[in-house]
Amino acid sequence: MNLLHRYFCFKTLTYYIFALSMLTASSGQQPQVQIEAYFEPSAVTLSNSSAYKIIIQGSQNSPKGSIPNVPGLEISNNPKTFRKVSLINGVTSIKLELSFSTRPTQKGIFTIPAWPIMIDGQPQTVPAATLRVLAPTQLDIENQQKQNQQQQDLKQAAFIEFSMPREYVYEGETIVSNVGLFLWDRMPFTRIENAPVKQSEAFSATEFGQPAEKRNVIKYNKNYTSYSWKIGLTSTTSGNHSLSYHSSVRVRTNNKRSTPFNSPFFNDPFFGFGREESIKVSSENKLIEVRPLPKSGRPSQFNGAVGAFKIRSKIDRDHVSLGDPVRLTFSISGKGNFTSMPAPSFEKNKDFKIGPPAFSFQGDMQTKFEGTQNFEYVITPLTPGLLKVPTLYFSYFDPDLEKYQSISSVEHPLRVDPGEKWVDQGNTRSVGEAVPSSKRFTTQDLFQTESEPGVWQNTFISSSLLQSIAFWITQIIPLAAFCLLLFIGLKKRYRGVQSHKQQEITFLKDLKKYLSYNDSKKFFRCYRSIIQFKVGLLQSHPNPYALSSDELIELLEKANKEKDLISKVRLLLIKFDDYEFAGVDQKTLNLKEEFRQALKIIKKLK
Amino acid sequence: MTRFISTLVVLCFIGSQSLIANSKDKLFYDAVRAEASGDLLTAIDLYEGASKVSKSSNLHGNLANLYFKTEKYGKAVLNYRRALLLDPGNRAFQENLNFALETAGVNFPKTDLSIYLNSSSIDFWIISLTSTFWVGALALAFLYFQGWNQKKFIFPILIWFLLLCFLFWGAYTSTGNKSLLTREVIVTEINENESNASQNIPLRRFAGSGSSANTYVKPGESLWLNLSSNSLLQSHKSLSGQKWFLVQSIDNSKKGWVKSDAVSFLTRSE
Repeated sequence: MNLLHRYFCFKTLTYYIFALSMLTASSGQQPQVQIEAYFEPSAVTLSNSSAYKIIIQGSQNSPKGSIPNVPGLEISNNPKTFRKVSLINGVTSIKLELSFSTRPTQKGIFTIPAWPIMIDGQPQTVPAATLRVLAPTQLDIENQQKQNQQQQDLKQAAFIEFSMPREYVYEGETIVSNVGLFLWDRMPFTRIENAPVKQSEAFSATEFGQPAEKRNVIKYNKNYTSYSWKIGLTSTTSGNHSLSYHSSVRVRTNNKRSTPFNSPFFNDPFFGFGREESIKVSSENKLIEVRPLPKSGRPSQFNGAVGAFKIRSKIDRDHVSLGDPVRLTFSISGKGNFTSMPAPSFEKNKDFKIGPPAFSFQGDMQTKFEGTQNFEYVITPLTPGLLKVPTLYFSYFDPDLEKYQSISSVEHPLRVDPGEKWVDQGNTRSVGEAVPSSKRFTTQDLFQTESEPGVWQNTFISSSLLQSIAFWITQIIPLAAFCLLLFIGLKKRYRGVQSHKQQEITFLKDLKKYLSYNDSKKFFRCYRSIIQFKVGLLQSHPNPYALSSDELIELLEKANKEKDLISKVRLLLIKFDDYEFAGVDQKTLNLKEEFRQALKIIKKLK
Repeated sequence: MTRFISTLVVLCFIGSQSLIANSKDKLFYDAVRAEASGDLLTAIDLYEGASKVSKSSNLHGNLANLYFKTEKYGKAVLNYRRALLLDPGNRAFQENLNFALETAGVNFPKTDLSIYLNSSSIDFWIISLTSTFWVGALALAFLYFQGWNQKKFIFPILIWFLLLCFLFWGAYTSTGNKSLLTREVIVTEINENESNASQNIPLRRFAGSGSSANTYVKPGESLWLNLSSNSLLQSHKSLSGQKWFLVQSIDNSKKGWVKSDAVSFLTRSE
């Protein structure tokens, strides 16, 4: 109703004046307000709409009120209004008509009950109105079918399809899914705005890379170009989850606005006369069952690997000195959730110091579903002797066999030589004397010794840039540029000021000349030019001589000049107009006095 | 004759330089050999000798490793810090320093911001400050003479000024941190003939061995020398010729007089 209220305010003043004059011309009595309400037509079929009309006679002022809601009817809140003032047999008739578009949503008889409305501050009542909604005719049904077909066609113009290898997946399992975007060849698609975006929190997907393009794909008896992405999809939580994809494509459409080229040929989007629009393309929602991993028979080493795998391990050396690092590479090959597979961990081992592993994956980088995941551990032997590199256990869940599997790496033998022991020269002990355990070094304490000195420097802290002469010399360049800019700018400005001064002097000379000739017309014309010039300068107006009297006053007010000065200039401008255009008697004029006043005003207009 | 003398001077200079270069390289390689043969104390002496001639990150890194192996954590920390001053991006030194500090039981407070405001970032702040100043000044002058309305200048000038303030703060703080670095000392181990079972160094109330200790500091801890009112380092020389420094921790929680041989300047070789 707010809109309704606003609508009434949008009428021209003349219309009101006319209406008021008509009212004044009438008997002078307060007109009686009469309200009618009805539907036009009063009976419609389900697929058609009717107009709910309210006719107010005797007032044109904005009414206030709200139409009651009637279930089964959708009433527009943007009414059409019509006002009419007529004089019939000397009696003024005022009429205001409001028409609300109404659309039924179901069959039946609907009545908008009587409802209150405020007109001219007086409460009034809008009478009840009834609409009969009939069953749709055959024509209506055909139209509806046509509309549905159009929507179906639009859906078939661009759509997304995606494949799932199974109806269900296991929690944490990775599957390869093909997501295809199909674009109908007859639609003028210009580009794909973005790759399909997954609409589900229950799955994580690998990145959508470059799509594989395929032309002339036949679907629904139509020719399509398909763009497909192969992705790895990993389920994150168990339960039934819906999965869909959305994308956006840009398409050229006809220009709706009427243009001089409003012809079928010029409006053909293929010829570039249309405009581009973004269309959202969606896939169907698929419900996917994510099964939880069985709890029974779960090995203690299991840490989330789901798939079918084989393992392999190797060490880079089998004979080292104490403290020398050995690289153990543990490889897991096969098909599965490589993206969410943590590194298998060793059991605690006092013979080795084991660092965190480095990860590397070789295989299908797009889906990360099939390939080999390598974990490279750096292990440092802490005791000499013939040691065995600790075994790594790996457990995974096989979704095809639907059971857990456990495998372990082979035991690698490693020979560790003790190496040379350091004896503190200052605390030389006799042979055979035991070294206190607290003073014994472990290999954890070893650091890498650099055999080259590297770059020699004289101080620990390099000297600051502020102490460098080169830095200060470099500052001369921007300083010189700044000075040059300042010089050029000031020179340009000074030249401008000079020319303005010269212009002002010329004007004053002319003013004096016309004073000596006693030519009041030219004197005032010159006087006006000076004022225009000075006011123009104040506000940097590009063409001050084109300024009218009002504009000059406006500019002076904008420049916050004294009120006294503004009023003086206003009077002067009126005087100029009077002398120039109104033919005021010039004999009584004292030009010398005017000249003196002019000098004062010009001085103040700085 | 003059030509002959000047040539001789130049030749002498070049010769002395190459001798110095040779001596520091020789000392370094001798130290590496001594270390490889297990003679760590000789290696330490040789590295120390080389460090008096010149400095290199690898030299101080190796020296720190040796001090660590000989359980002189204070000197190990000192040399790792020096190695990091010469090669700030070396992760191995940083990790070794952390390990040495952990072994020595010393907390080393370091904020994330400190890496942007240390002595090595002064040049970055100064270059940014001068560039911003000149670019802004030139652009504003140009626009002013192009006839830009004065009201339009308020916002760009405000942004320029705020940016200059921020960069000036960065440059000022970095310079302050640099000067702080020159006053930083690392607590090193006490002389072996002095008995101190806990290895902790006392910070005394007065500059004298007989004075009671305010507090104790561990080898490897960082302390800063106090400045007197005339901006000189506050020190005292006792009758026995022993030099004392008035030091304090960065948070001022520990303060007192310490013997000069119990601390080593981070940026100065003794």
